[in-house]
Amino acid sequence: MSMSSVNPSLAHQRRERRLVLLLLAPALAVVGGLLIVPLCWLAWQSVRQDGGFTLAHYARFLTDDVYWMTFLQTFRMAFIVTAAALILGYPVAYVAAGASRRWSLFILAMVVLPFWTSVLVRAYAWLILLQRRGLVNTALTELGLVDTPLTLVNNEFGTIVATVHILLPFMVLPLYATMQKIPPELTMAGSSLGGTPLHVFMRVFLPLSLPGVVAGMVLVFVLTLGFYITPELLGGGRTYMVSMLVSRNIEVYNEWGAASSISVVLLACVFFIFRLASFVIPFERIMGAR
Amino acid sequence: MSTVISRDTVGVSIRGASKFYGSFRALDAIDLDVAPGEFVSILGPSGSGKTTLLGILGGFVQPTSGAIFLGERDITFEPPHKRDIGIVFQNYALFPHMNVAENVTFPLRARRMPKSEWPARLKSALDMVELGGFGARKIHELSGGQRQRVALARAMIFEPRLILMDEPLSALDKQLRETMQIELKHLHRKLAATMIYVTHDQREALTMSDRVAVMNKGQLIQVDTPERLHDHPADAFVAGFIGEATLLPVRRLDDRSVDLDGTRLISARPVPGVTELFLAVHSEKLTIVADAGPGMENVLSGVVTETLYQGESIRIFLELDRGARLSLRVPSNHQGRSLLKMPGERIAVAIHPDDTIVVPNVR
Repeated sequence: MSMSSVNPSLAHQRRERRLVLLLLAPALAVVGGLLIVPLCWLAWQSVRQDGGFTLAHYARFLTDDVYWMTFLQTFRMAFIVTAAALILGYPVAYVAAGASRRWSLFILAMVVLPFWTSVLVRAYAWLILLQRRGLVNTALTELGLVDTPLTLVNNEFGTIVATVHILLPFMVLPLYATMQKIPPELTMAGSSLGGTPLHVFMRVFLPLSLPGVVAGMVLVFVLTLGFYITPELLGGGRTYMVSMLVSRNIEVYNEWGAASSISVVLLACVFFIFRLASFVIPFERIMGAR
Repeated sequence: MSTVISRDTVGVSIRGASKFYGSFRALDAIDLDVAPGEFVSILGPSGSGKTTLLGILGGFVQPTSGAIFLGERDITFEPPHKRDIGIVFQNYALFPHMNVAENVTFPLRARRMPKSEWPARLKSALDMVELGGFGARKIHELSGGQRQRVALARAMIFEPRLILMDEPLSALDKQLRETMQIELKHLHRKLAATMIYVTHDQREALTMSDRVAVMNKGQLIQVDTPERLHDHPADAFVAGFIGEATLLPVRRLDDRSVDLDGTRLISARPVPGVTELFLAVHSEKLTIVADAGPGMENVLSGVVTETLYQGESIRIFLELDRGARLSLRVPSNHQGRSLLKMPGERIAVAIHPDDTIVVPNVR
């Protein structure tokens, strides 16, 4: 074989690879410039003070109770919101997956529609509904169910209600995607083999829908960890989340080092949760890819 | 010989079952009686209503009218899990998150059968389908044929009074399908269970069944033994659907003969007394006549248009003198090849009066 002969398929492959890189370049530049670089800067900030290296910002996690309490409350909130979203979302996804095409589209549209409204608007909407003289309290007192208006907002309860509402699509959509792929013959087979509807659900449908449960829970949990606007507006200062700790450190104390270290720890928590979940279900499936 | 089925087997009786979807008639007053221990196939093209009928038997579809009896018991309104019918689904419907043993013992768990009885039953069910020792295998580790057997074992282990099968072999390749057909037939004999087998494959239905119920457009057209169905089709639909037949319009001459484009054909059986008649010519029933002289009966002549070599046989297409087309088969052996003509050559074929099948048009 002479040196000058070029394998045409190899040349073709090389050309194709160059094209792929070219097509990816804008996206890579955006991700690199707007995400990777700032994150590195953040990590760098978290170990700097007065021009020198320090672990003081991280040491505060061991010494300062506020840090601990805030993380604890944030995780507590995330657990409650995730559980509530699962309890509310599972039946919705179940009905949508079992319904005719037209109905399932309708149900999913109802779930996704609020998605296209700004989070701020939805948070204010809940404020109006749940406040002392809001729709809910008025209805309850008019009906004589309560004597004095309930405190439904400016506390953890109000924050949970609004957060669950905002994050519900992240629970319902992965659940629906998983359930929809469960062949109906499996439940038919289960019942023909003698399983009562409950038995078939517990032994066949539920186990097969678990990947969707895990995906939905991870998404809702992780998103709740970083929630800011809703607890700020509806928490009434009683619900203190990690995101608020970060913002106070910058806005009030101008403490970039402290804010950065908190962000890095929160980010590490999120990575850890995704890692745990990936033992059950691959990362791409959590994010909705097939 | 040990049998899994020890309970008395019962027959099935479908009485006037209809199913409407809006104004669409999926099933039209079906009457079908299946004797205890009988193997009946429901055969029809897609959309003929056979899947709806299966759904009604299994309890997944509510009939608009009519009733279903399992033995003496009216099960029309019973939910699937109370029917005691073992169903083998088209794609097996094995539970992917369970292993073979968990799949097969699912009916025992669902029925709250004491766990002490499970091992013996599991073993006998797996042995029955020749999958002894496969209990711990995952479903995705099995081949198509093995999955099929697991589905069978799972449908038999609880001694159902009726076993329904919905095109259970359609996903298998041809060779495996033919092996499984014979195995299913043997299993049926061993179990002595009543079986209803849904298929669109006429050959499969003919091979396996005691009787075949042919369906078209939601109606039962004919319920008969494979042989009767093939050689005594009730109408042009059955004649065209079963076997490899060409339908040619004919005119009735008298109750023993018809006229095909000027040729008088004698039939050994009475010609139906209706105006719209068809001659059903099965490929295998025509014989090539080397020297057709005048005065020979039931001889048709024409020109060979095409020959197809198909391995065990050769299919010859010919165009009769008046333009009608039909096909015949000769075995691809020495004698068959010696009779073979090239496209364009003239050929004479004879059809025996016993094989001269005249059917009325589709109702």
